[in-house]
Amino acid sequence: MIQISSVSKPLPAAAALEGVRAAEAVPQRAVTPGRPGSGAREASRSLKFLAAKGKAGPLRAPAVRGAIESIIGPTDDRVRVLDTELTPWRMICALRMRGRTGAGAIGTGWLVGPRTLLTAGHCVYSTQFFGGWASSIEVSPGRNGAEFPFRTARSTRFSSVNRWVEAQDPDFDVGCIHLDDPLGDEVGWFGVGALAPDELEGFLVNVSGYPGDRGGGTEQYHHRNRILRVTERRLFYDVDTFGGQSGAPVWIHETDTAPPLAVGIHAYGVGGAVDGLEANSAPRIIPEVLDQIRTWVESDGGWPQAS
Amino acid sequence: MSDTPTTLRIVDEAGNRVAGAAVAVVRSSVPFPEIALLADDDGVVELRLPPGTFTFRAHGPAGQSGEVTVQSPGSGEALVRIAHAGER
Repeated sequence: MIQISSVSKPLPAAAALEGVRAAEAVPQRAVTPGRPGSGAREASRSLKFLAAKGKAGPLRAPAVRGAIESIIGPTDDRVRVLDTELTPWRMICALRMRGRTGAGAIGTGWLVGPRTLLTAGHCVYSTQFFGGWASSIEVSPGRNGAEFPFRTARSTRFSSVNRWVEAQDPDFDVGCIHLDDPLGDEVGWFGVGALAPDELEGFLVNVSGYPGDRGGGTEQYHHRNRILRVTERRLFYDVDTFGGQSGAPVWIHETDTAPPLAVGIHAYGVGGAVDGLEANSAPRIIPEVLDQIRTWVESDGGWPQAS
Repeated sequence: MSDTPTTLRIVDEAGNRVAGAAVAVVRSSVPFPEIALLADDDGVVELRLPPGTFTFRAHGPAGQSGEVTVQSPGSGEALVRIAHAGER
């Protein structure tokens, strides 16, 4: 069992979040509840035709990286999602981060509770990009180019974990955005699962987010492929991505009819092969991270009681 | 981590600065977060890089793009000239 603890952006005392909390033991397989939200119930055609479900053989033969390392193989297979007002796409948010110097950046986040988003740690805290904590982040669920199907929220309250803030450990590149506005009540939120490595083997994964090369971070793009390797703390997959998709959900559908279950936070796409593997990667949702997510959601008011 | 910031200046074919260009690392000798940075009103992006080699690609609001490769530690400044496909 590793020990991680929450680290939050310093705030005035009256508004401060709860302090450091030690991780507690959780079962090997643990899941937080997802919900589709009160928005339109219409089934998404993109979900039907684009999303990968269950376990299967590879969708594409192994390939080497091209001129853009995060595009794996000879073609860029990302597909734009147009019905972003429907689930699960509306749970995925275009992020506009601002550093204290005024520097701007593009990222992706996703709801895990009514007032809580998950993203990459480097989208909320980065000495490289922001000189520390981001000063503010705008959150636009399901943004679709110039269209905003839902209201945009602005937050200045963020958290990460000590292993990211103190050591910039890519295995713990996990961030949280706390909202005052309960956007999740309408757009819904992902269920999150800490699955054992042998449970994840063979699943097809989906990654959808807001890249900077197409639409300047305003258009949502999806791709799917297989999990190539599961390590103690990381997931590796040959799903095409691009800068700006940091923080996007990496999710599976356990069956054809099962709801999405997020199992990782997309964060890395370049930087050479890992143990000879040409792949993009995400910190896994391990039990300790899931426990931290529960704490963050509870600090934002928690999940509603099941009816 | 390098203490010296790296500054990228994004300009178009005519040498005009390009505000709002999205800049991401597309090749790197070390793992690098998959974020995209936005050029400010002067067409400038600043960041701090670890030691290594990094290729940045900039995409302008009008669909232009261009690349530059920088070493870190290095000069600390680079120009990214962006153009429409076929004009590069």
